[in-house]
Amino acid sequence: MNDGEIEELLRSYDGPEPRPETRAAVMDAARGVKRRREPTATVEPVTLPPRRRKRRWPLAVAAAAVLLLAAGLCWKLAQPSPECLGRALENGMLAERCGSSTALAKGQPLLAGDRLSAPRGGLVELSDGSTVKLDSATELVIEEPAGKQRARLSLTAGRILVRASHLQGEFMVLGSAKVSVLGTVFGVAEDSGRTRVGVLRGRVALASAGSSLELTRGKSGNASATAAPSATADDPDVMLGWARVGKTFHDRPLSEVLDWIADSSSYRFEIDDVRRIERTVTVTVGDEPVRALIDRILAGCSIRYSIAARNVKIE
Amino acid sequence: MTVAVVSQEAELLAAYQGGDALAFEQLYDLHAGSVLTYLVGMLGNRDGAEETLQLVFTRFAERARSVPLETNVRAYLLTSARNAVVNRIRSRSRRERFAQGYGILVRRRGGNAAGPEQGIERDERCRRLNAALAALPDGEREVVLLHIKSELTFEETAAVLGIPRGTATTRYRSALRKLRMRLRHE
Repeated sequence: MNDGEIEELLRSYDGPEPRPETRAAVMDAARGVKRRREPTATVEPVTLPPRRRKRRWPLAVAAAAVLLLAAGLCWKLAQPSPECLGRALENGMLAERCGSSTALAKGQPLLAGDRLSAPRGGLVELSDGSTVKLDSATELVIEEPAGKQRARLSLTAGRILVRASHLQGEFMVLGSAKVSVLGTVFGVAEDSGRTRVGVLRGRVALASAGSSLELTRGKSGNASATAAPSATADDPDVMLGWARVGKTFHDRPLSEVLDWIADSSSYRFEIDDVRRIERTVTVTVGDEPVRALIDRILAGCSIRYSIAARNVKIE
Repeated sequence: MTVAVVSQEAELLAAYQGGDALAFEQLYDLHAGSVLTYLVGMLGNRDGAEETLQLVFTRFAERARSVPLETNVRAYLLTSARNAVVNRIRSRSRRERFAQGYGILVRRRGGNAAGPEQGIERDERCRRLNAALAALPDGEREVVLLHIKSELTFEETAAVLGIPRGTATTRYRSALRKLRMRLRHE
């Protein structure tokens, strides 16, 4: 059936005939006799009123507002957020921000000016990929990097362990003295106006009172705002023992445990035959010297080894 | 055909304006069926359509003396009817309006010559056609009624409805397509 046939079908039927009483009522009305049937509905005047359209402007305004909002959101998302300088890697830290204290959840951004405190310790990642482990009762301020700096921290109290990334740019920790990182893993402790630094890997420059001291792996030093930096005999592994305490490995490969020790201390491992460490171990790290920890693990596995100048050689 | 009707309308309107009451009756007889078909098609209610028809013509009787002679009376009446329809159906749901399943089209033109079997078939086809018309959106159904049953041109139909001519033709084609599909599936 095509359109023409539909039209023909429609034309082939008539509509209903008006009732005689309707006709009579109309004719009476036309003659001026009021015999109208009572209407049940309001009557529209014959002269055409202005066509009443549905009000569409509220819909248009709402649509425009939604579009504007979406565009603004897209623009905002597309903008880099220069004030975001890192993120929390653990729950439990507090950030003092704009005069109020905010509990940081894992993954939440760190903003310039955030004053972090970690009642039970914490771990953050900076925007350059470096990580900073905070000891309990530590206060650390995330500052906006200046010039060629890639990170700038201000340690006001407590202890931190920094694993600096290998990116270009200066990594700076400000305490009573200034600690510039030259690509390394190191710890900084701030206590009563004195800054202590221990280096596990790489080099660190400690500067104060117009002079500077470079520290290398296994070395430590201290400085204050008024005293020039000086080397100390402190063992950095002992100094940073707080960052290792409580670590637990349960049925993990021995190679993983040794990698972790190498990463969190100044000790290095030299392994002639990797099959020697193809086993699993269960270890809980206590408050003990690194040397004692290594002895406990390797002796427990009946592995022969020797240690010289913080280098562990597994035979 | 439309040209002839308009010409006759002008004569009748002039006569009524001159005091000839019979001319008004002729105008009524000429257009009441067309207006009623439109009203039934849009209101889905015979009683309401009759009431509205009465009021449309009563208004026309009151104002006809000031209507220009060149006025297309059918379009004038249908415009008045359409305004009344808009007021009446505004607060009523489509389901409610067509709950009775009242027939917009009721009989075949000149169709008394066929036998009883053909009569039953015609009635069934009429029922299906009414159902298909009732299922159309209001905007499409009124274009079909005005163009086919009231024999208005698309320009006149568009003027009655206050829409552009292109919109009227688009609605008309859409309505025919839906009618074709519905009649095919039933």
